[in-house]
Amino acid sequence: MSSVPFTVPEAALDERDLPALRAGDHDAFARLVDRHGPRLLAVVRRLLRDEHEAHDALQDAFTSAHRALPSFEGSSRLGTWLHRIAINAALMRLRARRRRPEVAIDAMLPTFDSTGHRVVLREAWSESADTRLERAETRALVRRLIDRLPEDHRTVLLLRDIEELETRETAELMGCTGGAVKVRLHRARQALRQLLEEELPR
Amino acid sequence: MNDLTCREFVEFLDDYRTGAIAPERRATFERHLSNCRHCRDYLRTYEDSIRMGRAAIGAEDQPIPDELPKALSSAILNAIRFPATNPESPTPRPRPDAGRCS
Repeated sequence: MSSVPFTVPEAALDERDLPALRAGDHDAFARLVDRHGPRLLAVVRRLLRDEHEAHDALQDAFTSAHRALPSFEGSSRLGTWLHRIAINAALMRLRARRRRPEVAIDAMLPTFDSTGHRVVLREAWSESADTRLERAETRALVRRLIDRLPEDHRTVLLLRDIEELETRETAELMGCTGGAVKVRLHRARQALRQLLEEELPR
Repeated sequence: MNDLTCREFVEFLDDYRTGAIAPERRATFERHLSNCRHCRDYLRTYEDSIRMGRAAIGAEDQPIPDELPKALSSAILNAIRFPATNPESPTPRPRPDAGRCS
């Protein structure tokens, strides 16, 4: 599931290393990279979908973390703090990318007639999500459909539903309002629902 | 009285399911839901979609690696030890001009 929560031993090890980390101890930092690197790599891979860029983003993240550690206040867990820094590093790379052509989200939203009732009524899928998810090909299909969402909607969906960030944190990281995050998340889920309705076998 | 359209129901669906609408308005949503099979299906499949997204991304098909590739962890530690060789490394802060929310 999500990259959070962290195991208690991991947090305890962070706690133990914190004074050394704040003092710039290299061995403590190497242990930090070992402990958190793999999980953070999975996070930036999901956002960037490019191995090379994911590696660069992770390096950016640890470099910034290293710089910021002396002022780390310890009000959140170190793992949570690193998670946010890694997401931020990935978002910076996403923003710097040339945008690929994408289908507007509106084409993936439900349509209504002038009285506000549904126009296109497809048969909703009947098989339960849990049964479907047992099949690897369904999970692969869901991932492909998420990849078809416009990048900004895909990002909000990942940050809110997968990384489990709060609306406020997502808004801060994306540089927008909480209202914009809520609207975008709802549209992203609606679009995914619509794509699933079209693509899932009946 | 059924004074909510499907469009309104769908628009505020997430507020409804997360309990973020006022109690008096909630009754209107519940009335609509009990009268409209399509919106019942929509709500169910919307929630299914969230679950399917979560499960598919977090599935064992995309595992967390046991450890970082050696070259990557070396690159990270080198960048820390010898920051002068990596002066351009950016401080990841959101840039106001690059916001995706408009």
